[in-house]
Formats: sequence, structure tokens, C-alpha cells
Amino acid sequence: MLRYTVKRILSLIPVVFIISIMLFGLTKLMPGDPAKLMVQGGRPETYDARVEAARKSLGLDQDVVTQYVKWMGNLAHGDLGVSSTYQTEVKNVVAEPLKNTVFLNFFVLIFSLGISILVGIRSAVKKGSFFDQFWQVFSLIGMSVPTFFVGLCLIFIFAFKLGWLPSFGMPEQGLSTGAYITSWFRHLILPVTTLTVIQLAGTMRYVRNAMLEVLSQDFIRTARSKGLSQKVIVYSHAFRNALIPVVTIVITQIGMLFSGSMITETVFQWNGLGFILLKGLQKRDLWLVVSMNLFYVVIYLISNFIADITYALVDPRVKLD
Amino acid sequence: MKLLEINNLHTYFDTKKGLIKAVNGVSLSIEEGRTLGVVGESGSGKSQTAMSILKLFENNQKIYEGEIKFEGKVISELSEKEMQKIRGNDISVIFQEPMTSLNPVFTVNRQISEVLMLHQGLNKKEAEARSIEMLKQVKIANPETVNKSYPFQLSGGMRQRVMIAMALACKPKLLIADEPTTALDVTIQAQILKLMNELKAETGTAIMFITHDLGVINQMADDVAVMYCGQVVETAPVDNIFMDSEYIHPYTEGLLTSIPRLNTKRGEKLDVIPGSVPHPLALPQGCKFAPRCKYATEKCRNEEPELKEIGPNHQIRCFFPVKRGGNK
Repeated sequence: MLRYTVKRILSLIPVVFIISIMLFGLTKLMPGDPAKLMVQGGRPETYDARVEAARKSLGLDQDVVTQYVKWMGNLAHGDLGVSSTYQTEVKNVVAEPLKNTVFLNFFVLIFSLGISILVGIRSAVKKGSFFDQFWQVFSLIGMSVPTFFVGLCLIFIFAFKLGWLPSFGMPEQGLSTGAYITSWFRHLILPVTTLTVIQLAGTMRYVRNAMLEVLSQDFIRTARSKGLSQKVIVYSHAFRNALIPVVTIVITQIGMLFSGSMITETVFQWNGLGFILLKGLQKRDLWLVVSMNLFYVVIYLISNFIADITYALVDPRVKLD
Repeated sequence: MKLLEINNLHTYFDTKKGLIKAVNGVSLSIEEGRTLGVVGESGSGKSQTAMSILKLFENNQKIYEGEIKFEGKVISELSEKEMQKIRGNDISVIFQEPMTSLNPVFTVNRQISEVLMLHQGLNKKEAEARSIEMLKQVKIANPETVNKSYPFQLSGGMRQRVMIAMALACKPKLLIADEPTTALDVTIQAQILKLMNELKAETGTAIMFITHDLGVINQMADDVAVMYCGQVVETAPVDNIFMDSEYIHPYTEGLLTSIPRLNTKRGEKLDVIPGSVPHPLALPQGCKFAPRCKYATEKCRNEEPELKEIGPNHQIRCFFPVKRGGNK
């Protein structure tokens, strides 16, 4: 297990390296010049000089290879480069949004997983019942409707029609601590609901199918023949087996904790990573975009790695060597 | 004394296409400490009869008529909760597929201990010790190691031994063995059968042994029930069926003559029963076996025969039982 872990971590290094080249190359291929976008406005006669200066400050005056090598070198020291949009280090730009995104997705993860496991199991056990059919329809709708549409519907109902919740944005500054926290949660409810609905739709179906598959197995009949109660059979014997396929999806969702969702965060103007990334892309903010994407890649690789290890934990047949 | 008595049992599946009468009026009984061999083709209702005893039903399946008595008490009316107390404790089952009948993610210990903790109220430690003891009893050479193993680490024969150990853990009075050796190699099959006979002698557990293999019946059973289309067509002590009785059911005759023998000459054709088991949704009128029976008459095709006593403990469901070795 330890050997496997070390081997896997070492094998991640070349992968990250290769992907970083591709990411950098692709980002550079984007049309548009961050330096030009950085110096918009101002007096026209100094324009060229200002562009030149901006280019220099961003390190874009050097050739592509040098830019890449410098970027990677700086990354190793924890320096993510300078954002052309915010005119400050990328590190400082993403700190707050990262916190917001993790916060948002933490709730989404808890709700979507909790509900989908409970509902998925119950749907499988009571296959064909009204309960099952209701959630199947829900899941079908949730999977086919685009995220922004769900978000807009919720805004329309709960913010516009009923006026219960703020339609979008972050809590205002200058509130007392108690009021600030309340406001924070009030702003959180709609985006969390939107993402939960979308996540839930897929995960639930996944849990249900995994459970159905397991419940039809011979060893479930054996468990019944031993006199075990339905509860023990479903939640211990069956779910423990259904867990194996469910783990994959759960782990990838943990990766999602950090990645943020561009669409939902934009619809709700939630100052998260997805929101920042979209802004960065619009402004051709090279270092912001490329560093964030690399961050996503690393998160993704790590969650895959954790999934592999978790497999070995939930399924004794999987040996990691 | 009769340990188990099934009277006129009807267990049906309610499907979209209609009622499937898997068990259609079965009556049989098992004496204490004896082995009843239940034999019949696939789809004859032998497994469904066994599943009815413990009410291990699918969602669309239930008992429509008849009763099952265990130790003189009617158990076919019991609720699911009450059945759970009987399952694995008074009556337990071993299934056909040892490869898939154990939970792949739990150790042998956990799976055997579970029944002991549930029914006998043992704690974890006691259950573990007892589990190892059970594995010893089913002649597993290294019980401590096997006890800690997961099913995938064991061979088919070993898994079936584990299943037997698990089934016998609470010293049940009746063991239902649903084709326990069908999926195993012939040599392993012989070992398992020998083991079951030894255990029966040791513990005095009665066995309901389901198989389609008459050779196995001869080796295992004290009494035999032959099933066809959800009914018992003949029931008798095993020697009656194989040798003693003057008259047997035409279906039993068909089964017996279709067994290859050592003195069957090369190239000689085996007697087979023509045709196949009728579709459960299109059962023939009259005797269910009539369409495939070479002795069938007009009466057989119109009227259904009752199970009739024709000798001591020997019952046959046929108007015209065949004289053994007679007009063949």
C-alpha cells in the first residue's frame, strides 16, 4: 500500500508536467493580448509605451519557452504569477474566491450526497413505487435542464416573486458579525439549492442503479435466509457492495469542492473560483487562467488517486501493488 | 415424528402475463432426522417449494393456498418478523451457487458470526470461536486462516463448505439444500455429499435435498418426492423408487431410464422423455404429464389424477401407474 502510494505520487509528476505544457500552449494560442486589455483608456500617444511596459511587467516580452520555464520555476516557489486584470499576484486574487467556492460546494456536497444516498437506496428497495417514480422523474428533469435555467427559476420564484431571499451577490460589507453571517447564508441558499438539484439528479440515479444491481445478487438471498432484518440486509450487506461503484463518483465530487462552477457562480454573482476564472478568460488574463487550470488539474489527479486508494478500502478484492 | 408438513401448497407469481403457478398443490412431509430428496426437471417447482417454507419470496410471489407446518406449528401464516426468527435458526438453506452466495466484501468470520450473534445472542468473541469450530466441523483444514478470508480467496468447494458451516451454525432442525453440488466439479461434489451425510449423522438435522440428479438422490435421500409442473407426482422411500416398488409413475420411469448406465452399449440410444416441460402459463388440462406420457389415455388428458396411496408410504399421482420392467 505504501509502495503503491509512493509510486502513484511519483507517476503524477510527469503527468502534471506534460499537462502544464499543453495548458500553457493552449492558453497562449488564445487570441487577444492581456497587455493591451490591461492598459485600456488613458492618453493615446502613450498607448504603445504603456502596452510595452505592461508586457514587461507581465513577463510577456520574452519568448514563449522562457515564459513557460519561468512560470514553472516560479510555481515551484509558490509564485503563481501576476494577474493582468487585478494587477496583483494571482495568489491574492484567488484566496478569497477559493474560500467562497469551498464553502459553497461543501454544502452542496453534503446535501447532494446525503439526499442521493438515502433516496437512491429507498428507490431501489421500493422499485416501481410512487416514491421511486417521483424521484426518477425529478432526476430526469434535473439531468436534462441546464444549470443556469434551474438557477434562474429559483431566483424568479424565491427572490422575485416571493422575495424571501436575495437574488444574487455576496453579503454587504459593514454589517455586524451576526447580521453578516445571516446574510452570508441567505445568499448561499439559492446557489446551493441549484447545484444540489443538478448534482442530486445524477448521483441519485447512480446510487439507485448500484443498489438495484446488488439487491438482485445471490448473496442477498443468502442474507435473507439467515434471518437478517431487511434493514441489516439493505444498509449493511447491500449498501456495502453498492458503495464500490458509488465511491468513484463521490470522490470526483470532492474534487469539485475546489473547482467551482462557472455557470452557477456567474448566475448568482458568487465571488468564487468559477466566477474569477470566467472574468480572467474574458480579460485574457494569462497567468490567472493558466495557473488556475493547472490547479484544477492537480486537484483532479489527486481526487482520482484518492478514489483508487478508497477502492482498496471498500473492496477487499482490490489489491494495490 | 413429522418435522415438516406441507399441505396442498400453492405458491404463485403474479406477472403481467398472468399467474404463474410455480407450486401448484404440493403436499409432502419430512420426518425428523431424515433426508427427503426432491427431484424434478428445471421449472418443476422444487426450489419454489423450498423457498415457500421460509417465505423467501420475490415481490410478486406469495402463497395463495395451503399451509406449511413445522414442528406441528403452522408457519406459512407467520409475519416477516416472525419468519426472521426461524430463518437461519430452525431452518436454514444452502444454495446452488457457492461462488456468488457469499457476500464478497465480508470475511467468512463476519458472515458466520452474524447468524450466531443474531440467533444465539453470542458476543463477537464467542461467535468467532464458534465460527472457527464450525469450519473445523465441515472439515476445513486450516479453519483459522479461512475464517479470516474473504470469499474470493476460497475455491468453490471451500465456499460451499463455508455455506454449510454457516447454515449449520445455529444447529437447525431442518436444512434445505437447493442443488448444493450442481455447480461443483464431480470430485468436489462427492466430497460435499459425503460431508453432508456425515454431518447429518452427527447432528441429526433433517435435510430437504433438492436436485435434478437421481444418482445424488440415491446417495443422499431416505425418502424421495418427484415433482413435475409444480406438483408432487410420486413420493416414496428411496428404495421403493429405485428397486422395490412394483408400480411407479411414468414420469419417474422416464427419469430412471434416461440415466446412462455402465452397461449401456456404445451407440445405443438412451431413453429420453419426449417433449419438454409445458410453459407455466399454458399448463395442459388433465394430467400435467399426459402430453409427454407414452401411456396416456383420453382420461389422462381430461381429468387430473389425485395423489393416491399405492403402498406403504408410497403415493402416486397417476391413473395408470407403470409396472416396473413391464411393457417397455
